[in-house]
Amino acid sequence: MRSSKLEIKSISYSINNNLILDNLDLDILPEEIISIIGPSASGKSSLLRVIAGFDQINSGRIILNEKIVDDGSLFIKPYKRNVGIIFQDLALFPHLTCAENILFGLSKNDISEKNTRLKKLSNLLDIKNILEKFPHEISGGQQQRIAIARALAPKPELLLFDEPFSALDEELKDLLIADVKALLKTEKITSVFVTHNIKEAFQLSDKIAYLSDRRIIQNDTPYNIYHKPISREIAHFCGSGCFVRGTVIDSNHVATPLGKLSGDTVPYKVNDDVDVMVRPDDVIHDNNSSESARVVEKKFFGSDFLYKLELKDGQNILCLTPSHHDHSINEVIGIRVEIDHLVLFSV
Amino acid sequence: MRQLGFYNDRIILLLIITIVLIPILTVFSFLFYPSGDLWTHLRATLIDDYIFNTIFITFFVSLFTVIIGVSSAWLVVMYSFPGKHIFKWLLVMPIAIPAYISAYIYAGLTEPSGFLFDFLDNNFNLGRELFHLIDIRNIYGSIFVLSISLYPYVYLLCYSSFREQSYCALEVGKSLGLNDINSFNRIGLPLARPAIVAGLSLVVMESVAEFGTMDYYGVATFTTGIYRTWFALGDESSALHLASILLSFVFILIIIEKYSRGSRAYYHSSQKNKIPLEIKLHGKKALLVSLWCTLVILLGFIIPIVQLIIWLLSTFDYALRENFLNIIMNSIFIASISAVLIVLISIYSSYKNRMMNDKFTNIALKIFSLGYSIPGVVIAVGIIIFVTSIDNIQAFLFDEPFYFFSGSLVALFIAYLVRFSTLSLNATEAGLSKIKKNIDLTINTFQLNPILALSRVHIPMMKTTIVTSLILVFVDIIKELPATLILRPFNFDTLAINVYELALSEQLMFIASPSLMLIIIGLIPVIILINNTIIDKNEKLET
Repeated sequence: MRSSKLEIKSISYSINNNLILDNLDLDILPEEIISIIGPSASGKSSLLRVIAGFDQINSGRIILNEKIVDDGSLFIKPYKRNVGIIFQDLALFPHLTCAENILFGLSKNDISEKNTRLKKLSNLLDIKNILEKFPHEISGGQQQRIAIARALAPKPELLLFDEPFSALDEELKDLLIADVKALLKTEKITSVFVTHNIKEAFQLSDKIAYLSDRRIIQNDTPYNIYHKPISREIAHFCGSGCFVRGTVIDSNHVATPLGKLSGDTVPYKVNDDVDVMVRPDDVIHDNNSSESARVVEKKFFGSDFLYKLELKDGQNILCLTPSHHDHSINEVIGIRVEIDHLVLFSV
Repeated sequence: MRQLGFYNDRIILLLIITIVLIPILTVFSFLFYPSGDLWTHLRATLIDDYIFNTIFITFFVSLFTVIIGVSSAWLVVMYSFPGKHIFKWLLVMPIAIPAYISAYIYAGLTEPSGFLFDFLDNNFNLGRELFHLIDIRNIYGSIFVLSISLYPYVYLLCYSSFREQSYCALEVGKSLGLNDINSFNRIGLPLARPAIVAGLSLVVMESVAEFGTMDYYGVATFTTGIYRTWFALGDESSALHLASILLSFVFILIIIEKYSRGSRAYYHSSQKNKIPLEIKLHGKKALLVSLWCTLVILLGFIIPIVQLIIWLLSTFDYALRENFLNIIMNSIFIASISAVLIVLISIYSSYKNRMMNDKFTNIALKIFSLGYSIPGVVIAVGIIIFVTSIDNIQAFLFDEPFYFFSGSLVALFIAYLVRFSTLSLNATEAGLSKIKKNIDLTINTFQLNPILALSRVHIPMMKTTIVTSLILVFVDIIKELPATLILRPFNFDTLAINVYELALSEQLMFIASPSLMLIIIGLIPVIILINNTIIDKNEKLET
């Protein structure tokens, strides 16, 4: 299977004169797994639709493997783009068996070729014993595997996933995500996931592209998206975080109610007021620390407690702590902040 | 974004709607074209009758069908009383008997030597008064016949509506202290309003279009007026002018119906399968309710069927002659071929509308489904005038013109297409809408042409819908009278025509075999309908 490069160059796309994507750029390298995340109705699915070729863009260029597939006038049809797609509702053909579903896109090939393909895919996806069943007779996770097998069957150069796991329960989802990631990596298929679930995106992706305000705002590794978000919106989207007001002391320090935090403060100047992003896992419960805060709310997550703490000046932060540290509301506890680098936003 | 064959599809759709529009526009073009002495005469003498009678009949038929339909649906859904579980589906059965057949049967019952006439004559000695007393061949008789034949439309829709609303809204109403009558007036009736309007609009369209009953009972309405003006008086343009007035009348009704429906389509569909708690009736009340349902079913179904069977026993030889087999074959032939073509055209158009979903196809489909409300007589005269003008042009151009349309089955087929495609179109659209859009998109990523996709995915997925719409169209064509009467080729007799001609020549007894045949065929969709809407799932398992 060839894996291919996808280049999206300043595309604009509108539905009924309603601008959905505006001057959007995105490059996806061969074999890369990328997730497109963003608020609902931000145009994630529209982006997937224009990549697939279900809709045509107004301007810009979509280049798949050095070949222009859409530039607003020239337009290559979906089936000529050699892309596969997996939808949230899977869209399996209910009247066909799983094997017939998988082979649906291979009508032109001869029988022996079909059989080899079916064998290979059923080994890869571990679906050998359900091939003769109908979609309604198998579980949700198995249906997912059939949908993936069906998309893989015609050997696509690019796989697109539209919210593929959101209908599954958590436990099944984790298992399947691991399997799918392994499969995509061994098969070396460039893949684009659209999801609103950041946890899925973190587990799956090599890169995460954040789509908001009709364009990609940040395209980076999952680690950087979480730890170095370039906007408050992304910071919020990627996990419960708080902002603590502080003042830049020098190029390496910010003074905050949590104490002096160190890290690069460029481009802010000395005496600038800034908001410092503090994730719940950055705040460590430590009775030996000189800093303390008062518990105002707590949530129990089994292995952890998420405490909402009030600092001396009235600002709130969150603190994630292993659940054997059980404190009651209004108790004052010692905290320590461990931040590798500063994420600052102007006030 | 243009798909392959985009323009081809538009041309085909345009062709289909042109076929539908031709008879309608032809008739309309005569709206401002009254001509001839006969028209002056008509306007002076008959047109007022046509208008008055049509409105009078429609009004009272609407009133009675609503009274019968709503009351029996409410009783059957809300109360338990002796016979309820048989009544609830028997009440649908009259829909299988075409109104004109009921009309013939009741005429037979009340004429001298008819059962009812003899019975009253022998027992009450009313003498000459009797002729007047039970004469049914008049406007009141036609209202009676149409009411007992058409109320099932209202009954069926109200039944489903009451069933769906009853559990939630009515229980809440009761908990807030409403008694039975109040909960009917304040919750049941208002919630069922869309259903009543939908049923009523069918009743109105059918009453306006009714030809057989009016013709036999000698009631001067638009449909009989058009037929007589054309075929007895030979004045085509006056007939067409009448047809155009009727058509305008129908369009006004369509607009009223659309308007009254508006945005108030509040069907409640939560918890569909919950069975409402029925109130058990005892004593006099139970007896009264049972008697009411019995009376409706007796008049609408049992009396006509029994009379037909009695007639059949004395005319059995007639049913066995070879000609009768021919008539059956003719009916089945034209109805099945037309049904298959109409359903195929419906699948094609609704599939294209799904694929393209632009203004053009949306409007094309709306026009395509206009025909069901247009009376068969109007469609028929529209087609006939168009077809003869084509033949005239041909005769002018060629030495040996080829009369493709006139007097052939093609004209008849076009009439059926115009009139009945709404039925199958509604069904195929509903069937397609159940198929997820993502299925289409997924197919798009595979190399498969649209027709292959349709035949490999969509058609297998909506098999039941297609079969149902085939049956519906087939049965409606078999029962159709006026358009068939006007457009059929010479000597091409169908069951409906056979019944009509036998009744016309006052051989009422002999209508038994073709009528029963028609009713038996008509029962097929009724049974499907009853199974889908009336009978509960758990009851089905038992039987």
